[in-house]
Amino acid sequence: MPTEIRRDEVCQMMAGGAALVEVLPAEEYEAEHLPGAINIPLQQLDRQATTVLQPDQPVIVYCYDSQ
Amino acid sequence: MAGKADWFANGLPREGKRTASPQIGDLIRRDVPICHLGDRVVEVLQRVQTTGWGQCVVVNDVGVVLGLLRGEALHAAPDALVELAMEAGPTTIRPDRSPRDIRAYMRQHGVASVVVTTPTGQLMGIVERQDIERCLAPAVQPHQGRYRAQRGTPSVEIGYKLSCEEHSPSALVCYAKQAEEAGFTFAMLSDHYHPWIDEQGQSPFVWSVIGSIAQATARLRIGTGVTCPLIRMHPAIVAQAAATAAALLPGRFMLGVGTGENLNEHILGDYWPPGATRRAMLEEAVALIRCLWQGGLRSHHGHYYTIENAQLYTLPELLPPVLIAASGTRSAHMAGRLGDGLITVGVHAKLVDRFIAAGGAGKPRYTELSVCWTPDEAEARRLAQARWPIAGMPGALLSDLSLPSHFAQAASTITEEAIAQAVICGPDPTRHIAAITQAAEAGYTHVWVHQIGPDQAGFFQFYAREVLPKLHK
Repeated sequence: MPTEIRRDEVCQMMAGGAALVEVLPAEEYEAEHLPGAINIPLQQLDRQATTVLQPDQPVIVYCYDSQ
Repeated sequence: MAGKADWFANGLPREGKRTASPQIGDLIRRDVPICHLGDRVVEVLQRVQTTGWGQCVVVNDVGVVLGLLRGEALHAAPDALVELAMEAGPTTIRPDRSPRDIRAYMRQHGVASVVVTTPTGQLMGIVERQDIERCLAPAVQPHQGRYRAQRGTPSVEIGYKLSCEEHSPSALVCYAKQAEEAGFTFAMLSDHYHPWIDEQGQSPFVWSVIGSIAQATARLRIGTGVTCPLIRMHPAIVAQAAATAAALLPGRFMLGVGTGENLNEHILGDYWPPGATRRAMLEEAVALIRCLWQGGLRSHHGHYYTIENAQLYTLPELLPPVLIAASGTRSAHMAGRLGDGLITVGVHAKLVDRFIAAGGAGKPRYTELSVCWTPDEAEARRLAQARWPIAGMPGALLSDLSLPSHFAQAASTITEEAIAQAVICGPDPTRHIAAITQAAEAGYTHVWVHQIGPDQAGFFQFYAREVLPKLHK
């Protein structure tokens, strides 16, 4: 079930082994992203693309802002 | 605004190609003093003076910026509450802004510093225009003129010493031109009131010489190596002199400063303070110089220096870096903490390490290498002993003796052998190259060569033909 989290929780969850995923297009990710984030652009988000994630691993997903 | 934008707007770490371009968050000074609405102005003034800042940020209990206390408001009504004396609602910016945009804003509005906050208004620090200017300054031909002695050796830039103790002002200007033509990329001028010994014979006013060199050269970077902004020259005057020099030498002036020598600083009858006091004086002097370089009307009531309503009207487009001289680990630590670079005399890996550990990583490390080129090595050794016996003297003598005649007495105990240990004497280029290599391996990024004696033309020919070409670019 997705839950909204804040900045400090991102660091805590990353320390606990969570995966961090940026869903913006690849060029935006390459320009600048959060440390440790991987890129799965929203348009490519399918079962195949998410095989890099572990099923039992918490996943933090972010885009540019909340709008 | 959660998400990536919020993360960067709070100045948190980032990865990616764009991180090569600095943001305002990379330039924040976070140690700005803070105060609260209910504090008294007199308490804030003490805090500001102790920390060397010219202003204090007013925040609420959760760190949200409410105002600024600076300038005349700090001195007008000591017993007033901050709430009544402060400038309310100052302009604030976010850490993910581009330094170029903020510089344009600061130039347009004549602003020397801006408060940086998170998107919710919490104080992150202050960004100063001088830091932005320095960050955006074009690197002066960063790779041209850099040499390495052999493959695997770190590269160094080679400079030349304009020895004000030995040469007339006209000769110094001529040598600066010749150094530029010979392939040296920078030159450092010593700043004395007296030469070390009478035999050296000269001691022109360094700032006048720099003015002439500015007009006679086109590429050579020029620095003071070093001047003492503590006693004989008030730091407010050095700030003006250096700002003028930097205006005459756009992007090619460096202000090298140190704690001085009694030889030069005693002349006005002032007490000669111990080293720890002079380091504290230098720290306050550097803060005062940088404060004046921000422009605007400035007052400073510090422990050692006072200025009242002083404003520098001639400011360069690019502020010069402040390089700090060190002869021991304590001054090297201070140089790493405060300076834009390190200056030493001779090769001291320990000082370089201390400088880097204290905050000097990525900043330039300069050192002076004394040589005496003549076609005959024995003659070079004799000349070095006669003209530059201080090369063999311990540091305490250099800083504490007060007259050239005292240095002459001390020099009578220094053997030619001791001088030859400290000075590269003679015409063997491999020894000159080895000394430069040793400095590079110790972590220096810039080496400037001091040719002792009158034959500067022979030295330039020797370096242009036999030393610089044999260092691989």
